[in-house]
Amino acid sequence: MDQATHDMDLVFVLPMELCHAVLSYLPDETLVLCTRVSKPWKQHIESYCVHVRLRQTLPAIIMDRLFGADSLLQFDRYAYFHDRAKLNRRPNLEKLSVNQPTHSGCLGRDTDRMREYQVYRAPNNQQHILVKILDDPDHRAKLIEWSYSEELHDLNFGSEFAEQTKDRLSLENTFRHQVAHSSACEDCCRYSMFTLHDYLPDTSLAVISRYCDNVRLRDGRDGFCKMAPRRVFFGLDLTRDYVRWRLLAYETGESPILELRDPGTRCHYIRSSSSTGSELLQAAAVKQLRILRWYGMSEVVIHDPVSGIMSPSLRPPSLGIMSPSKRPPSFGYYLPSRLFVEHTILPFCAPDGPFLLATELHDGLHGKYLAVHIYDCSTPPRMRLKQAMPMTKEQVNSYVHGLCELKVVVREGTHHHTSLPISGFSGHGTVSSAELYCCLFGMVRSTYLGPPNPVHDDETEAEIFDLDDDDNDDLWARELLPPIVWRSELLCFSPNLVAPGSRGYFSPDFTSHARFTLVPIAMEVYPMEQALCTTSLNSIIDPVRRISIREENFNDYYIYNWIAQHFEEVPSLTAGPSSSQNNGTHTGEQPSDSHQPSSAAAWPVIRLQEAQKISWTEDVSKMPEYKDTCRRRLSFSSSDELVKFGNRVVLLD
Amino acid sequence: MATPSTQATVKLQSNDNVVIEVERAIAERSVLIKNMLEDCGEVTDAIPISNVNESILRKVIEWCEHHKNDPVAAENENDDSRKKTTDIDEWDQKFMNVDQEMLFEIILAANFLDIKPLLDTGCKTVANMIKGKSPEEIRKLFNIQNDFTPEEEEQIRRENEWAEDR
Repeated sequence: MDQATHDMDLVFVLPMELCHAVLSYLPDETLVLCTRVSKPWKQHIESYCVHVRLRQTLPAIIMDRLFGADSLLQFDRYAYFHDRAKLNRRPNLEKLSVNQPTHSGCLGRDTDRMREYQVYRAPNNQQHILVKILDDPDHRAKLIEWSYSEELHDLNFGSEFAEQTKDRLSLENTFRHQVAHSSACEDCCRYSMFTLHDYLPDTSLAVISRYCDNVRLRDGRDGFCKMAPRRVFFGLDLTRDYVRWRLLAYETGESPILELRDPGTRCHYIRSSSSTGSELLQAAAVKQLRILRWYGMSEVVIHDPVSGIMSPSLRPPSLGIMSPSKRPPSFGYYLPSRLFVEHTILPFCAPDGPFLLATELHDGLHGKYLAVHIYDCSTPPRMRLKQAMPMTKEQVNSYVHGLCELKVVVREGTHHHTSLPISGFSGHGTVSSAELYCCLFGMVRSTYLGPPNPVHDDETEAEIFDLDDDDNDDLWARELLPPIVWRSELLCFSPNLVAPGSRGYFSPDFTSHARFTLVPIAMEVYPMEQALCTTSLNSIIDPVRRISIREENFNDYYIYNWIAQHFEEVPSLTAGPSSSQNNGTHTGEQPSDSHQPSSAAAWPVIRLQEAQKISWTEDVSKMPEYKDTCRRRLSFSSSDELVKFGNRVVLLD
Repeated sequence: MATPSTQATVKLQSNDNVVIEVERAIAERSVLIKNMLEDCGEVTDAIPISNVNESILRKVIEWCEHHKNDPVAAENENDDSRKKTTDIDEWDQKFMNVDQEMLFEIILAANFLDIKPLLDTGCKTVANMIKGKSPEEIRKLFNIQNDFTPEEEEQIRRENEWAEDR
């Protein structure tokens, strides 16, 4: 290429640091787009994205873990950036003329009392966003309603606004200014204020929080309105891939109790049948929810791979009865008053063997509790992999009950997201805390979820997994699956452990004492894959969007059967408002009511009395001491496939 | 360190040996010159600005004159590029409305003279030129030759299709 060609080319004219300075003003998606300009541009931009932008994006600790010299995988950092940028892109919404007849259909049935509305559309797809102000003849408040609609799906939200004058409440005002609403009703909205964080059409739909400036009615920490009506709506954020909205906790006015995301292309029809928040949530909490991760100890991400809805909260189970998923429940689903999450994905070569982790939410006298059971195969002498990862029910039971049982009870609704319990188990000895960080990779093998492991190098797969055993009730994976990444940060507590810091990550007692307690502080799983399914194991959860990128038929019967064998109580899949409110959505085959629970093989359930013995206090200061002394550091043998897959791993924010 | 000087003007000499006399306060928008003056005290000779020619130097001085009363931004401010805005005030937009060669020269001069606000403005201007354009338009804008093979380009296009689908 001749020199003249480069005269205007900034990557040749400007030194690298200045190039980076220019690139720093470009959004991620533009950077990605610019890699198509030329090879030098591609090289420069990828270098910038990896060495500068990514470091600004991710916490240092994550960078170190993912990309550090001792990282288990050699990530393609640019691919990571690329996927992240794709995930975070913003819509470019076009405001439509309200007179366009083609969009009048989405106005719904409230046109007679609709005072004002606007319609937006994402230009290259069929997503529409309708925002309208409705007069409510029975109430002094006005209603702002947001509707997100596609060809096949709608998503509706409403918010009651108060207004003193008719002119005050307008979409323009709502979008562009903080709008104080007063006198909406006698006790709720008197002092509340909606704070607008963002609005259409520049970046997203409005994200509004509701605060209260009255000291008697506001939560001290965040200022959220304590007295807000149950049906509190605070905004809708449509980015290209998901819709998100937040509802504040009515009872406490503290943390958001629900944050839902929708990948946009798939939305459940969510409708509130009444003004009560619980019913709204109930309607929103459709089937097939799965936990994606935990935030601290009081929030958890619930993921519906069909709708893409994710909800970080432990509170959704309070919505009432929900049906187990029709989808592969490999990573969690709801039971009546019980959340069950099972991690049977243990694809790693750990010196101490694999884990089996189960999480369960159940009612107690004083609230709901999240119980995490982790079953560790690390008791010496080391179990053979065959025994560690049983394929049959009997093996499962043997494994579950015969090996380590690790469990934790977290009081629901704790507000200390970062708090770490250290002083539990009064009268049960010293309690220790530690951080467990696992970055696990592996291939999902036929009838076995785990990586190639030297343990069975000398055996054939058939020998290991008894493939000849034609057990129809085998609920373990049968098909070759893509690799799975499992990442977890857990706090471990045990009456048998010594005080933090004195003997490293885990005391030697760790492997010899069966019980300790785990408190999840963060957990991410990529992708979530069914482990209990004998069919359709070809689907994979896209680690970028965290939705199933390929869906297969799945038979609830197996799941139901499996649940029935492991739980004391089994929900009636046809019972509960959740079932009734999901008419038309995922109404697959319902197992018969003849399936009854089998208490004999029930998984250990944490009783309330036991849970109540635990009290938490905060102490995060000692956590870093454990990072480098983790005895459970995993060894890992990668393959090209794994590396290729690892490149796709994206951490949530 | 030398005693602080009270001189009102300083002379700057471009790399084509043109000497331009400017107010010291204006010249001190350049951290490089400011430090030099602080270190050397009274400077009677022209300060050689070896990397900047006369036209660019005059342009930079013009910018410094206009912004001589601007508050000095705190260091490390807005380091997070994701939060950076590309908004440029109207005067700066007109100031930067020059041909690309001069624009790059201004950026280089701002970098050399350590005038961060000017550097930022220049970088924002370039970024704004890139924003919203397709790769082909960017190539045309900067006179860049597409050195991808059709197959390579198609592959990258497929991978990045989402980025332009807005």
